Amino acid sequence: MKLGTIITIILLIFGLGIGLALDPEKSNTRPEWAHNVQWLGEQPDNAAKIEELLLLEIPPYKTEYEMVNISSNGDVKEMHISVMATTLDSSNPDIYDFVYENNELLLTGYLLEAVPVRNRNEAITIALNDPDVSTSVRNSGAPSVKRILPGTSQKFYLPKTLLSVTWKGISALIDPDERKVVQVWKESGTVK
Amino acid sequence: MNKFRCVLICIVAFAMLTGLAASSDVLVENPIPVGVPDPMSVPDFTKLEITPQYGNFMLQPGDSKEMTVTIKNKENKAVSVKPITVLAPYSQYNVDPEWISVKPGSVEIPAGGSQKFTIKVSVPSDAASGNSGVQIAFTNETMPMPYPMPVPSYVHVFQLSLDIRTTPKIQIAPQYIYDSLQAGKEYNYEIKLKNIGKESINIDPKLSNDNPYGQIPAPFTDDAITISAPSKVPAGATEVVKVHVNVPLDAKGSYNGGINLNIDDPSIREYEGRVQLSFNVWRQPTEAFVKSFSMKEDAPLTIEVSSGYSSPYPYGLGTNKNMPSFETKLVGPSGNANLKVTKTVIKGGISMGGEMPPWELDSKGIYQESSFQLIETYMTNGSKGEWKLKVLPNNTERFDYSITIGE
Repeated sequence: MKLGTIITIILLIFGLGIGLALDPEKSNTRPEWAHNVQWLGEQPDNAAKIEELLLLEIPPYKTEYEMVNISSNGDVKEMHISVMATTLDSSNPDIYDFVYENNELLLTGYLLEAVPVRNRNEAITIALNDPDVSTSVRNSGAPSVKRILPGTSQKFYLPKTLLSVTWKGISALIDPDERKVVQVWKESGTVK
Repeated sequence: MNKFRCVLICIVAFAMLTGLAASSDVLVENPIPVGVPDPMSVPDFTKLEITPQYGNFMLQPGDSKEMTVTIKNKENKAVSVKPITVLAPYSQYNVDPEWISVKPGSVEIPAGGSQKFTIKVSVPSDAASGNSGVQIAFTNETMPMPYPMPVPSYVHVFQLSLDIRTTPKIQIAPQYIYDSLQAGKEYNYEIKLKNIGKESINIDPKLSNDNPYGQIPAPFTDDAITISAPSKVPAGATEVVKVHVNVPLDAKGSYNGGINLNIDDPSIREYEGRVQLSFNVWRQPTEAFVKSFSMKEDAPLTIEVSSGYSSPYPYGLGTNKNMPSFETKLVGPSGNANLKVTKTVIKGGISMGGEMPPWELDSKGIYQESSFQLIETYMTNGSKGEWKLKVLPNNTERFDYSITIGE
């Protein structure tokens, strides 16, 4: 092989390396907010593809995930996938349930309590600014604060992320951007 | 804004005096005399499909924003459409109709055809903060009403919610202090105020006497709470409002109130300049609970002590986040018994649904810890005679015990 050809090949390989280095998105699709991702138990064959789809569906709320644990059961045709993601600024996790079928993810349930303390406290403050809520929750202890995804929110308000502040028997649906209570639910069945 | 208000009042007065129906592009409070409709008749409204039917603009003074609304003519004939802006009659915030433009101003939509309208809202830079709803009515068709209405109920409307918000120049953290306090102890909290503006902002934090629970007596009066703060927050600086709570020895119950920070910044809404206080006061016993019992013969003794159920959720800014615990002693005929913890049970209550708000139904079927409890079991060898069980509970407001004599 001629020297010129060898140099050309070396330069091409070098150039390709630089190109890949300058385009990190193609070499690493994991978002910055997921510090660690771990599959629990046996990984399915298409774990990488599922993980890529999952990470598109589970962005955290005003925080970053320290650990995202993924577990699966079922067969290739219909696989049930559970995700539990934890953060450093909340003692409660975000939990998602999906079904993976025909190369698509379907969200079947979620319980999202990884709300940073600051946002959690703000949501409670907004809820307590509603006179109906504040007079109903005396001595009710600390409420739960859960994130409600736009797909659910649109049935009650607008398709946007809302927060649900819930004491036993009463709950306030909060729009954190507008800092207002958009609906109140009571166990007796009344919704205003 | 006063100028606009005056203009609006003049328009209303003019319309009332002349009895003319408003035919301009802007309709303001205009009572219409309507006869009592025949309840059996079904109004034959023009069939127009409006997509979307509502919008929500959050704007800052000086901002503008636009969106497109599509009207589809579902009739078999052409329909003339002329959008008008209808202001909310009772809104405390006055939107100037000149802020809103709809283009095209009028158009004839052919049978089965569609027309896109661009709604643009431009808020002047000197507008105040506030919110209001307005309607864009595309035709003058109204719902028949049995009584006069301050504003006609238009049929073909697009609802637009406007929220004009000036970015607050001061950031407050936290806005909510919620803690479980022990009687006789002192607590300190800090509220940080950061001025992100270019000018110094005056503050004057005061307890606000607006307890939402009215007549229910609080465990302590406001003088148990001391607030110390600087009088202003310089531009770019962070200042701390210190809150000191000295809980009286005889205090019991719940305190709910707030601190009005009295921030001299019009961009802060009334509720935004307030820090909510919510305290639950309980008395940590210093003396152990004592239960005396007799043993008729030597036998193994098993003591079980369990805490009350606690919420798994942390308190807002609480310092008492400790798990329940017990200091347990057993005194027998020969003095203190050698009491050993033989079993510790951490017990939880898990919910998977039940009664829940409709917007949380997507969590049904997912495990949710709703409560937890600590149970400790002690064993020792008991002997005939008089015994005393002594339990001093910590971080729990109730506990249960059991004394089992024998195997």
